[in-house]
Amino acid sequence: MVEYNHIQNLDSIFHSLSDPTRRDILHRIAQGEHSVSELVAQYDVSFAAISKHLKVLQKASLIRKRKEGKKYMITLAPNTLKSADEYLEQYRQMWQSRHDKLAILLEKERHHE
Amino acid sequence: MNKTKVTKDLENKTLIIERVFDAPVESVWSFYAIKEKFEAWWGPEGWETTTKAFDFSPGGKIHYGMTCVDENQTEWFGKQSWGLMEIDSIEENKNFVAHDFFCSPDGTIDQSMPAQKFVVEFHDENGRTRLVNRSILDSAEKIEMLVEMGMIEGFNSQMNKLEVLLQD
Repeated sequence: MVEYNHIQNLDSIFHSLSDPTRRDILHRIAQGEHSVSELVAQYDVSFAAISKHLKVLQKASLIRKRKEGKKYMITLAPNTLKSADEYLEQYRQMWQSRHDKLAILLEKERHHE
Repeated sequence: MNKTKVTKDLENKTLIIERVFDAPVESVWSFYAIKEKFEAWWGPEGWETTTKAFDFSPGGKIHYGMTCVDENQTEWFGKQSWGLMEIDSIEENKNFVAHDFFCSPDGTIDQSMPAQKFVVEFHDENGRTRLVNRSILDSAEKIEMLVEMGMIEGFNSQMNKLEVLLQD
């Protein structure tokens, strides 16, 4: 019963991905590790704004942050998107199983008419 | 048998669950609107549904419990989970809007779990029915957060590329 297990994770992942800037940041770091200042330089918004986006992404376990000297380096957390899709597939299967029941009941009802 | 399709709409934090049934809209509708019919299908395979309250009307509540009765689902067998569906609006045989909450057996809403908004649409396709369930994943806390973040001007989305990424 995926719904009860994973809905919270999906909720935070979906929240993270609903913002175009965050999707863009993810896309960039999917190509390779970036420092926070490299990321900030790519966008026409403040350091604070980017830092806030990174916090949201980190909270959803979509990125990882590590310190290198004075710099903070950001990488993609490889398994989160993958598990998001696994959750989705389990979610789909749950609905499929519900719908299969409904289809059978509708079929029965038709024969009784 | 027909397959249930799930698509994501990231921009709107929505999961769209679709299935076509070989039955008229009125029949499919009745499986939401009538207590006994709802109980007969709402639990997935191996799960039985009972309702403690069932009022399928605007402002009405459906308090349902699902129990796993399938011994093969070892980690779930015997487990129960309770939900509360609050109906916001109804257009008979067309659509309804509801909020679904996790709750306790006595109907107390579990605030630590996100509520989901559902928009369920019934489309007639030459005597068959396309059932479309839009499930909006968001919690109140996160909406506030988004309002705050919404003040930041975004860039054009890389949605397609990310979609590819999501499909890995």
